Amino acid sequence: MWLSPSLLLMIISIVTSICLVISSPSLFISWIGLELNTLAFLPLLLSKKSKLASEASIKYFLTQTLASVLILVGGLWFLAPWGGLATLTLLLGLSIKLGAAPFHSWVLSIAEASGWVPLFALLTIQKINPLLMLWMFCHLSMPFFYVVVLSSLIMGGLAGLTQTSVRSILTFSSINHVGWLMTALSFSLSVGAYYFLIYLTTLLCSILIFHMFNVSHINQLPLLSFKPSNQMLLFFALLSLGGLPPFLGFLPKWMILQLTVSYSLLLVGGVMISMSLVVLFFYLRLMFSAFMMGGVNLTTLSSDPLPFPVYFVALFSITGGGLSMIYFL
Amino acid sequence: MLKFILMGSCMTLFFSNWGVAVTLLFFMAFVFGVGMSGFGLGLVNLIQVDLMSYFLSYLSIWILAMMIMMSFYVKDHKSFPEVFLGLGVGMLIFLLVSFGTSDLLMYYIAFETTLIPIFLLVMGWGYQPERISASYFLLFYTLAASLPLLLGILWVNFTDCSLDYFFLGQGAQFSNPILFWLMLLAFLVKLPVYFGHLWLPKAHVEAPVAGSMILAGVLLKLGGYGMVRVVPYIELSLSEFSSFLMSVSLVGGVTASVICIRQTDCKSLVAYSSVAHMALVLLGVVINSSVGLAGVVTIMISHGLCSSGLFSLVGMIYERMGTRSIILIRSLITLAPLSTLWWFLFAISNMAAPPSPNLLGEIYLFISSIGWWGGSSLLVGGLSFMAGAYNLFLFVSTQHGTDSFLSNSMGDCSFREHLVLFLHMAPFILLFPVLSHLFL
Repeated sequence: MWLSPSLLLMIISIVTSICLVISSPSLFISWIGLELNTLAFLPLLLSKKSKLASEASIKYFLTQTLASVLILVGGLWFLAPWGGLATLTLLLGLSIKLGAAPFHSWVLSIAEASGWVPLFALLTIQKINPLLMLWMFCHLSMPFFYVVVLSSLIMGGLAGLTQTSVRSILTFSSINHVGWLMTALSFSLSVGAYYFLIYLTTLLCSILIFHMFNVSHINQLPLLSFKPSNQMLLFFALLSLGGLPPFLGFLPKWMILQLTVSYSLLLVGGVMISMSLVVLFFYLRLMFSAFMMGGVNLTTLSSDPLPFPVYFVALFSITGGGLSMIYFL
Repeated sequence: MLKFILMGSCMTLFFSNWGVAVTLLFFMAFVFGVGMSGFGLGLVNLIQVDLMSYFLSYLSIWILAMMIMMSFYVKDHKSFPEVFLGLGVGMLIFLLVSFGTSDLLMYYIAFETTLIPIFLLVMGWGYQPERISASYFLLFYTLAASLPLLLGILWVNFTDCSLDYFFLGQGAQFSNPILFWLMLLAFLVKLPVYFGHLWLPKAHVEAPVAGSMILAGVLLKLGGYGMVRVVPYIELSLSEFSSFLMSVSLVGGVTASVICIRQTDCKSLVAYSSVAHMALVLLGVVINSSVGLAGVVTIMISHGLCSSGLFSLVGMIYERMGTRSIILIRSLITLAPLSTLWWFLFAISNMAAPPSPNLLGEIYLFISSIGWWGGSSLLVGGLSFMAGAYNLFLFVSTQHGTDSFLSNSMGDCSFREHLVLFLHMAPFILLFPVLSHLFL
């Protein structure tokens, strides 16, 4: 099913739209890229046949259209006498597209309804376009940008505590990561790109594991008879996503914290630090239910060895940080 | 130092064979000890060893060997022995990195990393279901305090452009109170000082014997070591806050020892005694004199060996009787007379009786604290008295008394356990002349 011609077309369209946004000289062409992206992503959401999925795709379509309209209007307002409102409107549209905190509700309902692969695309690849435009037009010196960053960090951390679905937990963690990403992008594009790539890798690792074992709820985890090595893999992957020091996920966070301290943005730095603790807390809750399998031993659920790519990604996601630490030894 | 870190990494090849692992650890310790002959301050390629980090690295290799020898039950019960050994060796590698590195940020990274193995040890091999909340406490208390440390370190890095110990205190002197607490809070919780100590007795009670040994033996010392390293950056504010910290340390130490004596669980008694001892370490760091520093190092090393020995004794009893309650463990002298000698030796060492280097450290610290303010002699005296009281209480209530109904079929120490206890006690006694010679 995966490489049916139509889906291949959609995937190619998404890549094209990203290329369009990256290389466009004008805001209008970028906007066309965003629209192409929306249209190409809809069939991916619909690849899972259920009522929930069609509802989710409608929600996706409506929010994205609203955001696109705001972006287009904001772009046009650059020429208007009230041009000061232009970047604000643009930022509003882009925040909706990113799923940053005050505008994040749509991501959750779509994440719940989609499969693991579309979810991964939604949380990572779909963010490339708006992030690039954000880098071009907005900056942390804007008060509204500041508010969006802080509320993404806080909402992603605190609201994730209430969730029991694995998809929602990953979504809230991605909202938290959006806060980090926006801060990174307001420093420089390369830091943002670095953060994004590492976030993509670490998320890929845990999503692959959830995908392989088809886990979508926290109380399914104890029923899977994981081998201890797989448990460790998931544990380390989640810690890496949470950004605990020896793992790869710590590296970009370290860079960004260094930059926030250098620019004396101590409030943002403090919120980042405290919220990464909260995020780590709900990752660990996910892990505890996976570790506590000792009592339950359902041999009917097979524990096949994970396919090789998972180990490869996991190895990179876990040891990448350690390898880069050798630099200091 | 790098060769020991690499040696530790190579040990991961021997996960299945515990005998080989222990032998390798002793080999490492031997080479480490021989290396002392050509020993000064080595500073090679960002790996630095001075007297304090040398002793603490040595201690971590030693305690790790002890802890593996003490937990052969993990191997016998086949409860994931490879993972257990892997966690231990992983912890050793990062301990060596943290004591050996000369870069503050690298120290921080290794400091955080050692949390993960101890967290997994408590959660995976602990005894009761309460180990979940205990491991949560352990992880989040230390993380919540040490993530701000990262901000502080990056702040210093931004201002000084270097975090190398070589330039320690030669850059900008900070008098910012925010930076002061950012830098110190992590170590205060890790040490733990009273008020930040709640995670420790919980973690100790739930941890397996190996976890308690390494936690009390080495991991708490990471806090003291880190404090000694960051103090040069924050000396200006230290003089401002020293009265506060001294009060916390002295009053907290006495309170911890008073709490200690009313524990009914042997393990939590020993855990609270660590809190009381670590209060002395904070005292030495805050006084910030050379005698104080000598006391800090001496107390850290001797407490590492002594409390690890006490935890292994408690673990032995727990393996045989299935309880650690002081009410139920009684009259061990009739059942296991040989172990009574060990109980006695470790109890008097913990109360700083003469042949133990604990005494040396306490003398250093008492001298410097009374020099700081004569009135502190009252609290310091209370600390010393209470140490005697709770250790006697521990010894008398477990070894003497009427027969317990639980203990009619208990064997004495096995050869392996005697060896473990001997290897705690022998270096401990031998360290007295070494330490008194080195620091004065």
